[in-house]
Amino acid sequence: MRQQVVSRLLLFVPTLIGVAVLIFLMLRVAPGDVALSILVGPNGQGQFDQVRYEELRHQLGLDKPILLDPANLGRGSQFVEWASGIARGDWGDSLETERPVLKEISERLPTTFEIAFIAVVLAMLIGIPLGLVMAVKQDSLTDHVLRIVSIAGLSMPSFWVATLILLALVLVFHWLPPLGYRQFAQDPGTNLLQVVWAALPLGYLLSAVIARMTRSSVLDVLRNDYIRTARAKGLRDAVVMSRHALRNAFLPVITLSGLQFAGLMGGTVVMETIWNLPGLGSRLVGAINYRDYPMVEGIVLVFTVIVLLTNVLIDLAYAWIDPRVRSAR
Amino acid sequence: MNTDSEFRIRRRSFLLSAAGLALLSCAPGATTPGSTASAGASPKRGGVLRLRALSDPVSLDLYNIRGSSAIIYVGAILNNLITENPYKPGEILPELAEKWDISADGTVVTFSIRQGVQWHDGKPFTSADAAYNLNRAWKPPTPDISTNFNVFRNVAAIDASDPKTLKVTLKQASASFIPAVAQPTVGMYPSHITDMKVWSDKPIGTGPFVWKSYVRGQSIEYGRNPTYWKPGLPYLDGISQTFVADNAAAYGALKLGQIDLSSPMDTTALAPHLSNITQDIPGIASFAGTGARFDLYVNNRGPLADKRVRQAIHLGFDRKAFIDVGYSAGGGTFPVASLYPTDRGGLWGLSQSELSQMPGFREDKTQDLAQAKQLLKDAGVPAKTKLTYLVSSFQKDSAPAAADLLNKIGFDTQIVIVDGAAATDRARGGDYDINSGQYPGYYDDPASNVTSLVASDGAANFAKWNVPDIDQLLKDQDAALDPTKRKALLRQLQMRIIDEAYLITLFWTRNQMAWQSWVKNQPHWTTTLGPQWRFEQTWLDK
Repeated sequence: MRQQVVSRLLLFVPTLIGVAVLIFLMLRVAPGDVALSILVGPNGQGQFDQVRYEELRHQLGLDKPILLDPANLGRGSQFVEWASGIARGDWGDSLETERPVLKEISERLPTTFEIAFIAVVLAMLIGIPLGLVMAVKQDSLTDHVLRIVSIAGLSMPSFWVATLILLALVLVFHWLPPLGYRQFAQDPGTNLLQVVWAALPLGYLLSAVIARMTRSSVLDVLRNDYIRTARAKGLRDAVVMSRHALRNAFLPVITLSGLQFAGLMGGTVVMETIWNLPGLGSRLVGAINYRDYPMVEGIVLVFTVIVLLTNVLIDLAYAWIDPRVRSAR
Repeated sequence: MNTDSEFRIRRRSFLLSAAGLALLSCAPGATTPGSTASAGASPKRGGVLRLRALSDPVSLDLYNIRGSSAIIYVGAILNNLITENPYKPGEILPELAEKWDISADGTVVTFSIRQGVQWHDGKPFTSADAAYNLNRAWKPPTPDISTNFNVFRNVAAIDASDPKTLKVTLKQASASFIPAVAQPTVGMYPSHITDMKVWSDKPIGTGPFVWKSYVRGQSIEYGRNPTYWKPGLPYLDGISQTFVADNAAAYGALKLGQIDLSSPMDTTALAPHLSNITQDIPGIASFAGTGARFDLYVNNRGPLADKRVRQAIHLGFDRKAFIDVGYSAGGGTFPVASLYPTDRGGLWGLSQSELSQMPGFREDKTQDLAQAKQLLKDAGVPAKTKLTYLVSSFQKDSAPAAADLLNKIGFDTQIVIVDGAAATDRARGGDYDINSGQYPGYYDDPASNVTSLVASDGAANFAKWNVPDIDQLLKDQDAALDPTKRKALLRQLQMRIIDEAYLITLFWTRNQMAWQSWVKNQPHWTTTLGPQWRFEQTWLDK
């Protein structure tokens, strides 16, 4: 098992290099550049001046070759400078805010992590019981009603649900979470009050997916011979479900939840905006609009590491839940 | 509104530097600048103004192009050499300069530096500080690109050899110079902290409030400057500026009284509920100032090089329909020419009452469309001639409406949507027929929002339009130090721009400020980045 984990971690390196090269090239191939964004504003509303534009490109190093300098291979290109900086732990400064990329990421990552974590926990807390009930009460009125609830979760955009929640809080309950974001370490109570509303619509959306996955997975398992055997032995339904059905049915649900968590790391943008939370998603969107190359590259690298780590954790969870996986390895 | 009697202005300086109050015709209601009502009540001291801002500042440096919105965050801690009266547009008041004199030929401006003013760290304000800042506006070190570039490129020399005076020599007399120096974008930063990263960690100024703390992503806190050089000011104990990015959330916070005053919100984004904010939230007042001017820039190629074709677009394009369909309930200020209309609080623009009767601007398009089609016919432009309509991604929602309205004139319009910087890149390369654009008016002067686009050497004149009499009018109006003469010249300029029709103004977007009934004497202003961010005379009736 340890060998498996180590080999998965070693695979990080080529994956990260691949992602780094890819995002580096994609950003620079895309039309528009950061010097223009700075000069004329992200919306193109400012004033353009050719001389200043050229000066700015030079100062930002954008006049250097992108990948390789044919006249001086391996040195002086934008990629080589950036990659060597990453290796040294110097991720550069944001071209927009002129602040260190690592500092900005470290300030914002906890907020996004917290939203995603709470959303996935909520999704599991809602989705798994719903899925179980739907499976056990298959084709009953309860099943139909719960399926409608889960389909509604899939159908309603989370930003719309979030806006409805916000308006309901204001117009019905005459209450809003305190303004001014507080970090968890500063003030856990206020922080949770602020973050939970962003996690709720996402949790509802994801719970619908989990509920449907749980339902179909449990139904598949319940049709197996060993379940029939367990029932034939006279075991109670609750025991059959908890001891034999659920553990086997959970594998795809755990995979799904892990992937949802990884996906949410970059998918909380709208919630961060509506609920005024300074997270990484909104920073990424702003950086892309601004062509803030170091910032985009830094955030994407962090997301890549999170996705890779999540996959390793999913593998570990498999082994923990299913003895067959452990023995197979 | 001014409590300090020493803020009297020298008549000559006033005439030379500003449009003058006489040029303003203030319409009733919240369409012209003014202030939140105080009804003659005595100002109350104390309290903390809870202000909503959209997000963290990108930069706190007004002289850095990244900091074009920095005034929202640093306006309360800075002063200017001279400033526009926040309660009376066009009136220039002394501030850190006690007075200014202009030589007979208009090329030398001498500012007398106020003595006894201290920075928040106790060091004295001197002419060296003033020179430091004007030099940054004149020759900004890249990438600190001055937002006042058009005006300051006329500077020939800045001399601060006498600590009590600052002498600025201009290459030629300029009516735009004094109003430009009075803009918040020419705020005074300390010359003893030249590293802006160091300054940004603990910003200081000479202004009414001191910077207390800044928590990124959360808020900025300001406290009263106990040694402010204007006696008795400010009234507030402090300001708490909280970042609320979402307009619906800001609406909720206003409704629940969590914030006292909301910074400008784009009403196009607020529609439909916030456009009626005053009806929806008892006690709330609002003011719709200008956002940016929405234009069509016509390229100098193909059939568009023929003035008749451009005039056909100017005449036939239904501006009202474009606002209604493309911009929904948030609406815009219409009709407008290139300068902001005088009957909406502007200093130089053709009035809405006049424009509403003019071909192209009037709401009934029957005659205009017929004339547009005739012009196309006269120019030999066949029906459904293809046009490329270039639009930034942030304006993409309005593009189909624009294309449809161009098609009604007789074109076959292809929409090209690219993001902002790429759109500028493409426009720079001339790869478009019509380029839509929003142009921010930093302040109400042609140097701020017209020259770059229409002058033959204008930085944003990508189509290289070269109309000698427009160039001449631009020069003449800038050299006209008499406001009446300047206004007449600017009228001619606007009429020529309308006639040439390569810059076709559609409307001005609106930015809406909203405040609680207890916020008193807070100025509201036509432009978002005006002098309303000082808060030195604002008070709370609580």
